[in-house]
Amino acid sequence: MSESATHGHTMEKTYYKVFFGLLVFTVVTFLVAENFQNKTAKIFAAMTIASVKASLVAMYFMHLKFEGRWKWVLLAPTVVLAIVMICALLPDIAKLGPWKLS
Amino acid sequence: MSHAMSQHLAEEPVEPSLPISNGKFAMWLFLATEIMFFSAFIGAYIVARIAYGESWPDAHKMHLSAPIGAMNTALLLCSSVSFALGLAAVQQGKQKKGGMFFFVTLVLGLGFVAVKFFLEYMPKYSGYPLNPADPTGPFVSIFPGRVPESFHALGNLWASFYWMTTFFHALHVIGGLYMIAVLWGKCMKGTLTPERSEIAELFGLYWHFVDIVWIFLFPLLYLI
Repeated sequence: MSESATHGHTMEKTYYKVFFGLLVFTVVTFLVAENFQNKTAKIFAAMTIASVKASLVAMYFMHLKFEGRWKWVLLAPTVVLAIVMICALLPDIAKLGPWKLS
Repeated sequence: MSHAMSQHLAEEPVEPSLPISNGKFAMWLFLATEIMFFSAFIGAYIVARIAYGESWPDAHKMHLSAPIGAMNTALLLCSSVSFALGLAAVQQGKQKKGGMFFFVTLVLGLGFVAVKFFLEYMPKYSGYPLNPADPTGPFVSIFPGRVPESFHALGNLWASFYWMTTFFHALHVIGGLYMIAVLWGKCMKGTLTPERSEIAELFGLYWHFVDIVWIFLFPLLYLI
């Protein structure tokens, strides 16, 4: 069996393991949403699990785990900017929320 | 510029700025813009959700079914692993096996779109399906003859977020389905050889990204 074929079979096993993990995390998200009473804790837990699931897809299905350091050059600024954009919207909560300033 | 110099420049191999192919570089740049696109929607939704606190309607109140959302999540996750297996097969030169996995991916993706449009979007306009208490038809409308204001895309903030995020995501899924159909066709023709399999890798990056977006949308819209 050639090296690439062996590598392919190894990857197939990994894909199945990741897929199983994703399904388990989906069920966990469901249970968290049903059982957590505190809404803030619920949102935090659900988004944390979603981030873990997204990381699994990106690392294994999109092969980012096996890519070189170039991935940081492309993705780090994007992710940082995306987070900054969301954080930049947060002050609006002070205007919109029940504790609004004016 | 002299003729000799221009000839020398033309023959000089162009060093890529990153150690990846131009196609992969372009796809990742495109995905970077997509990350920003969906981050704007998701970020604004999170902010509005926190800002409105208890007055923000929950999924049950807005007739969003968590089991239907979970079913769609499962369909996309299955399609992702199926695509990955198809790509692995194609890279090993097994085009028939790859084509079979791409076909499965295509069916699963179509399932996602069908659930979205027929079980989720249509009932919000025409009614809810299969109420055994009402024998008038397969769809039982709770809002007969009109589109309820609560589900108008411009009816309220919740509806605007719901329609914009899910509809744009569904459009991306449909775009991805076209790509997968192309790959399936290539496998059937026998033209997706390991040497030419980069296109499958690039389309796969896009398809998995669409899956990642749904991974965030599902809990945000249906569960919390």
